[in-house]
Amino acid sequence: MVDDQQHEQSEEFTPAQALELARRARAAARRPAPMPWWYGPGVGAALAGYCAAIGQSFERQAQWLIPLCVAALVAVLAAIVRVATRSSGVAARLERTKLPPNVLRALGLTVLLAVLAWFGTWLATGEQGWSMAVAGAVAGLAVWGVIAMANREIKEQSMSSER
Amino acid sequence: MNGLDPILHQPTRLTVLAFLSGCQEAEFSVVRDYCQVSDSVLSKTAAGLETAGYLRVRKGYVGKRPRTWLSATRQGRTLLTAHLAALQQLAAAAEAAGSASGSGAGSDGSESGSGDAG
Repeated sequence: MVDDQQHEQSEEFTPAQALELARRARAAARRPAPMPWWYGPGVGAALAGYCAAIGQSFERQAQWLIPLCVAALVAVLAAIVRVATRSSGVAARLERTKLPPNVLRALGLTVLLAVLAWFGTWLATGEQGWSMAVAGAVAGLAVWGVIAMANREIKEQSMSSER
Repeated sequence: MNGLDPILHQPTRLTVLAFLSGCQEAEFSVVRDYCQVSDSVLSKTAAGLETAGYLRVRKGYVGKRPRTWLSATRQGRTLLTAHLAALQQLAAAAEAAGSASGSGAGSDGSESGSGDAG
């Protein structure tokens, strides 16, 4: 820790030093932080609940519930993301980031698995409610897996940048 | 003063604002740990920057624990960008002067990129 007196004395620095100081500070703030452990299960559970609710809306012919389900999902996800991004003490700026190819592949696989689960259950039971609930559960679990994978990559990146 | 901002000439103020410009907002303790300053120094620095309109202080709670969040204002971000551009120009000019004097009178004691910003 720098005490107040020392702080007041350190007034002299060159443009190059100042630029380097600012560059390092910005890079430190932008460094991606791993999400908390509950982020993956939280998003997965929200997705599973949403799909189950959509399935029930179709089955009970209550299509008016669908926009409400969408609004509820958006609200829950926004709250989860808000709390999770602030849990490290730094709320990142919304920037366009390129997803790594393996995460993109895993997301594609998630959609495929969810569709297959929906189709398989629909063939077996013929009920929309069950089909959507199973598809949601599969998608939720898969999303949890994808988030865990992305989190592991972030942790590895931050560990290698600290070395 | 060549586009240089006298408020941002102080290293801690510059570091705090540069850190905050890299994120949406950051918790007081995170900024303090990054800048390696005491609570009182960061409080004073943040208060100065807030008064100048460069920084916003938001107080809130996580559970029952009070938390202070700092964020750079739009004005702060704009002025920081202008300040850094001016510094870049100064550094480039100092480097050019250093290399010119180095090639003209040999390479004895030329200090590239180390001109005084003030």
